[in-house]
Amino acid sequence: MRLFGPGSISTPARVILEVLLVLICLYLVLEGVLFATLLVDPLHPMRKYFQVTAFAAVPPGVWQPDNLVRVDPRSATVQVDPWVYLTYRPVSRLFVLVPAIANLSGWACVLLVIANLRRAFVNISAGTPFPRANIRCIRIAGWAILGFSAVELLISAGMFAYMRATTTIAGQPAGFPLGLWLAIDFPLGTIASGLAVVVLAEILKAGADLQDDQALTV
Amino acid sequence: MAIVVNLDLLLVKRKMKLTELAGRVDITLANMSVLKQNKARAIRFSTLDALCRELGCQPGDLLEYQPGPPPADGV
Repeated sequence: MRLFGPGSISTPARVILEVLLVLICLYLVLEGVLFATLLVDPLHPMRKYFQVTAFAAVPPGVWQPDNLVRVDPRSATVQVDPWVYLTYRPVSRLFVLVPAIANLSGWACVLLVIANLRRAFVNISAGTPFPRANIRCIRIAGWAILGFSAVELLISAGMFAYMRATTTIAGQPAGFPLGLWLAIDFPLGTIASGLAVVVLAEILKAGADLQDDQALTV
Repeated sequence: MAIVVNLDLLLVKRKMKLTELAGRVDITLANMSVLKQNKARAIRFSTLDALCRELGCQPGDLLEYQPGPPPADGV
């Protein structure tokens, strides 16, 4: 199992996971500072680091939408590129709060996944191929990935609804095509990964059961 | 477990130590201990064969069924 002596396979992966863990923690602290600052003052210069992006469908007959996009001035400002990709920056606290919750909960899920994978590597380094503790770690990681997709999906849908309600293009309510949103934003890959990890945990559980049976067979 | 291994009883009858039996049937003392303490989940036919040969008994003398509540893990 270990090609170059004890820990030769698990150690580099563990180091990568530990570095990732530290980097994510630092990133979360920076994000926390950004969100806290903008919640106190949504017009703080730090708002240039905060953006919510979306795409919109242009109403028929509109060829240059960049000067025709209007957003409720109490919620956010908006920039438009030629492909009608909208970049919002906050004016209201609500516009900061919802994406902040989305972003922080998403990263918290990622943190949970990385922390559990790291713990699983530590357990594998201890020697047994199917330690029971790992099954729990991997199962938690799988459900965290699925939770992350659910949060991502819910908040994304919520933000779309909010932007639909506050944005107009050439005087008409902005169209955010659902089909296109699902095609681009639907976290199919994340959901599939989460399910794969949950199934992997069940396979490991079967392995651990077999290992127990084998150990107690005389 | 409803199956009980009467190894200790047979050892007393044969005036044999567990270590001696382990050496004769070529099974580790740890595994013999698992068997004696009724912690084993399964027993190989080869092990049963060796035990019966060395103890001069039948499998039925070694194993006994005692009805009881089913084990928690459903095994």
